[in-house]
Amino acid sequence: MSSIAARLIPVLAAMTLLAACTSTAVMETTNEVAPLEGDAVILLVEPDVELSFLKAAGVSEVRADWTETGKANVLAEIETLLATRGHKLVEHEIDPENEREVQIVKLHEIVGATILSHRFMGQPLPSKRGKFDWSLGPGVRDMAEAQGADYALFLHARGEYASSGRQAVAIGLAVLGAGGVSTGGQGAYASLVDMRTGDIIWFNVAFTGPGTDMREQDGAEHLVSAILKDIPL
Amino acid sequence: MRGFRAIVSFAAIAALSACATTDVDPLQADTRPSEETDEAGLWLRMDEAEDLLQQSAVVVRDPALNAYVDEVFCNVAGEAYCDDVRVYIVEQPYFNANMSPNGMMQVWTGLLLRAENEAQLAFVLGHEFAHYRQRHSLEQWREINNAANLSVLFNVGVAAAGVPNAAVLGNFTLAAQLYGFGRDKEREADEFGFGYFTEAGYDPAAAAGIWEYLIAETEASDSDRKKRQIARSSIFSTHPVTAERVETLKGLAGEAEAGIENDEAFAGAVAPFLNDWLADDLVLRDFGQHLHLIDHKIEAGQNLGVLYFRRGEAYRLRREDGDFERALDNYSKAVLFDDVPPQGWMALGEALQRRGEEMEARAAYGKYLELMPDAPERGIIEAWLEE
Amino acid sequence: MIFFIRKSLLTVLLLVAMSGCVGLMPVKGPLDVDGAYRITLGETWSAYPRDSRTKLRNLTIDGEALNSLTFAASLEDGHTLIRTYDRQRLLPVYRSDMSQTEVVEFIRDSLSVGGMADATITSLRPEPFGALEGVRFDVKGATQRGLNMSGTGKAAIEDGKLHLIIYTAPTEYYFGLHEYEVNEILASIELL
Repeated sequence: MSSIAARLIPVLAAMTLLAACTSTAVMETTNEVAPLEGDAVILLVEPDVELSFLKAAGVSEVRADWTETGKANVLAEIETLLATRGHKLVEHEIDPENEREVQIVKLHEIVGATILSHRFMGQPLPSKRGKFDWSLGPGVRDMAEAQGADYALFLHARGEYASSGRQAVAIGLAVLGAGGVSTGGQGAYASLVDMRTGDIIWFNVAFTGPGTDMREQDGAEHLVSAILKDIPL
Repeated sequence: MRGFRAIVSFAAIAALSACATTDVDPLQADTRPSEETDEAGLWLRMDEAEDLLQQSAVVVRDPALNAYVDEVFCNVAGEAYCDDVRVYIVEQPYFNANMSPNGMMQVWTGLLLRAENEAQLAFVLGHEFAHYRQRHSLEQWREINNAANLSVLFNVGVAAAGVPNAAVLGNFTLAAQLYGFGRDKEREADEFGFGYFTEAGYDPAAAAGIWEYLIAETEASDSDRKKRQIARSSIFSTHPVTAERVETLKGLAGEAEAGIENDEAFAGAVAPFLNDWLADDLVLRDFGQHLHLIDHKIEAGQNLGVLYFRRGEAYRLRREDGDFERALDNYSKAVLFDDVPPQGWMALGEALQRRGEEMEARAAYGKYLELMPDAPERGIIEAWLEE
Repeated sequence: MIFFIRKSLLTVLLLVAMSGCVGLMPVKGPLDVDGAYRITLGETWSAYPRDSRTKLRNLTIDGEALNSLTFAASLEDGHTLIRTYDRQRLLPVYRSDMSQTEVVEFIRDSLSVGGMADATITSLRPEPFGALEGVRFDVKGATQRGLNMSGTGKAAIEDGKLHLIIYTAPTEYYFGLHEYEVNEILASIELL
């Protein structure tokens, strides 16, 4: 499902792309975190991935096949990365009949958007100075119970890939002296929620430049290692 | 140098002007586009939008109402397409219905509030179904793409020739495409929609009927801008000029046989929601339109407890000279009917209290609290009663 | 068809967000509201600048979508709480001869126009607003997206002018999180 903040990603990606490098911004909770006991069970909550075709006029068109591939690649890479650290990833589909779960997931969308707009995009909240204590609250325990989950991982990823037409326009306009035309890119944000307290214990935003492509296995690996940078697992 | 730039610009236009065909065949029943097509991408985005809609707070989930609207839709669309479309009733006070290319249809409660009978509803559903079946969204999407490509080319070409502000001209035509389906497709949807709903046995006069009602209601609006919108036929309007539409639909009806209206079934399906939907409409504060709607419904002579109550509420909020008296008058009428909502008694109590008629106000409040044990206003009312 | 132009709208939003043109200030302790009344904040809140059109002030601790304390003083007959530049738009307005029930109805309708779905007042009761006879109310609803919201507030009319305070937050976790602080704030009202 699409979220408010996820729709910001292509725009953010476009703006950081001119540097053609990968940038990340890792944030961690200032709350006390109970130490992890043994191998973790991590609930991967319905990842929200959407890949689009960025056409000449700046209109982007979602591609169902690219989305399927990108999603599958990213999930596989996440699973691999976490498995090498001895953790178990459980893919979790939201049960629309479970009102609590639905509310928690919607709450997370808002919390994610809030973190992006006040911590990443630089309009800091004086009331949060020195604190990163956003939480979904202890209501998460309902969600955790069925699978015995210790953590939940939320992921939103967007990719826009330029048509060859778009690249021609970018070159054309550059020649004529008008720069700054987006040629696509990928962006994602992820959060790790402690399912005992609901606290967001880790949050990261990552953007990659053109040329690293989650539709390809190695591109997905690059993106995932950027997204999951410094994840405390 | 100017000559060189002109060559670059024309070359760019030639290279980028490959257009996708915009003339598509009608959709077959029970099909999904294959994954690598642009249509599949459009469906995927609409599937996401549908997930959002399903989870949203604005969908009306009442089983009986949904069953009724689904049945009317299936009458019009026919067995083959019945399961391809999912009709969502959305609680929004505006007259609107829309169709997404993946089979998601929305019918807004403002429309259900204004339709006079089942035949009128059937025409609107048939019109929306026609958009879906004729794949107008896909055609539109491709047209936008072509127009968008051309408008960028326009930028490049014209920039090369040294004309400033060419971007504004390019965006003008693109924006016109983005406002709804455009008039050609709306006309096509009217024609096909007319066919579907008359084949299902509905009365052809209903097609023009719903628009005639809307024109009359809009002419009563408090907003000058809304009144101008009906007549305006700028290229940005999402529907063809309504008077023209009415004439076309009347013309089609003239050649067709009479059919059913099914006004009783429709009235029965909608009655439980009348109070809530009129309350939603009153939030828009267009007293002209709102009172026209209520007066029109009162003429039909049903649900008078609800309707007189709602009319009282409108006068109370409008607060023009004499409106408090009119409000009290309407509340007094409303409580004579069995279907008056409990809030009608509270409104009567307040109106009497405002007039200083304390004994009568006490009686009305007492009746309200008796009918509504969980009355939210209990604290306020009881405090006054104790004075 | 709106999603086709979504991207350009978001670019504008992003630029506005990044331009730092909205200054968020920390506030704590006593806070005077347009010289009409004072509230006392126990915790540190972040304050947005007062909106000159609606005369509304907005405070938050965790972010405006997660908690929002909105208040205003001395609103006059004909005033709307909706931010709009469209002078012709028909909107709920305050009337100086409103009853307490009508004042709360005005606030509810404004929340609805402002985007709250299913906005419903669940309780109204008399409660002092400083030295004035005020009305305390609770509200529930949801965002358009379906996140349940809860709210509570107080209002009173002084010489025909309206004072109001309302707090809203998601029902899940966030409403309860600062409920104590909000109740303290509502109890702390003093007329000036």
